[in-house]
Amino acid sequence: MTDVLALSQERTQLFHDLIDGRVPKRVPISAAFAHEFAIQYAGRDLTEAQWDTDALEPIFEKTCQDFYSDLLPVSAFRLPSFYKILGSRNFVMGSNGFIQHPEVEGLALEDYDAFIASPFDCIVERVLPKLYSNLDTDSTTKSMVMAKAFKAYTDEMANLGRIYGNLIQKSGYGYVNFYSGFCEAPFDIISDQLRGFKNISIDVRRVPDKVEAAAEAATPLMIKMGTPPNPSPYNATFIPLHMAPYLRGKDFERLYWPSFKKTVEGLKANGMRSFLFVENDWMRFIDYLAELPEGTIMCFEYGDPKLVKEKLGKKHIIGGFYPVSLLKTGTKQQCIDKAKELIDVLAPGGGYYFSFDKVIITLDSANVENTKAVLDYVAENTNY
Amino acid sequence: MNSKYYKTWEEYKGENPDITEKQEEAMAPKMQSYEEMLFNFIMFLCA
Repeated sequence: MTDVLALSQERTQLFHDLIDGRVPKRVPISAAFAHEFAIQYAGRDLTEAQWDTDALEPIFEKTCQDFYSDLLPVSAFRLPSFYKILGSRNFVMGSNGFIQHPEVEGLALEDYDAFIASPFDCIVERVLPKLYSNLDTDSTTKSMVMAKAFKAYTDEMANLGRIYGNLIQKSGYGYVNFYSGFCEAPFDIISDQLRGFKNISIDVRRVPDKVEAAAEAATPLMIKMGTPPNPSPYNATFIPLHMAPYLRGKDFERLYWPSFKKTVEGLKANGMRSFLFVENDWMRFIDYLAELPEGTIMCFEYGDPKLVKEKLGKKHIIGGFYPVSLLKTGTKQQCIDKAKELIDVLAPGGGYYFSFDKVIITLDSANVENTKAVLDYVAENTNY
Repeated sequence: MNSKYYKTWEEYKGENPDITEKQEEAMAPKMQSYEEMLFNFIMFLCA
């Protein structure tokens, strides 16, 4: 057996133990860098490099070589080619090459009923032409634009899939994928791209019945979207949570939670566990999270690690909490001390993997040397 | 899913009754995979 294969098996075992509820040999590590970071770290121009996904492998490999992780640490999510073909209004490249998400309204207030009656038809007929200017045209032109965009998207995804496979093999990463599927909480998909942050904040007060029915209608779509062709108990569907911390408790309870819980349960019934990015501070809702199916993976951005360990640690798999902001502003020793502090709270008894509180998206988000030092520290000092 | 823009294999077969059993075995997974890919692409565009 080659060293790389043995390393991959060892790392896979760390995560299998984590997922199966056994205490692993050491705290597993899942570092996460966006493709924008990897491109900048490799000294390449972001405005150019993300157009050539064929050439991303050596760029991603540099991040893989320099930053410790047990799972592949680099991924790309939003690439410019298909968004540009479509004339995207919701994902637009800034002058620095970073794709930004401006506030948009994909679903008009008067379109709620159409969405509730048939959400997918409403998305195709009404939402897409509002979000993508090149689809707001005659049907023949629209179909040709869509064909080009779909071709670009499938080409990009095929390139990325090939690169991910090569890097996992070359670097001996574990064969566990927390991004095997992707969907959103039903309330979040209605908020983020359909109604927009401003509109949904008004809708929850003025038309809560419509919002509730729309979230309910979106639930089967989210379950379908989040179920990959070959579900595996060691992979997960990524669900980045967004709007809950901005809601009043009674609105969360009525408008956010029921459809989200159904989504996670529906994925579980389809053989997929959920990997939640618990964005912002969910401590008000921690008892709700305890109701989700056992073994749900949760990466927390902010909140109280002790409370999370106490309330969720025996049932779910916990990660996150390590502030990327400290990697930017702290000394190396402060950064390592923070890792020790979190590990002391979260690691005992297992059910914990080390990760930062968010994906590191750009080179200036963190001090590179601090980041390396923290990952190396965890890799070398957290045997059970 | 009730939609004009998404067909299950059974719906597709209903509209194409000339498909034989032998053809179906080869066709169904491939045809359905394209249906799923387009569904996922469309959902990705608004997520």
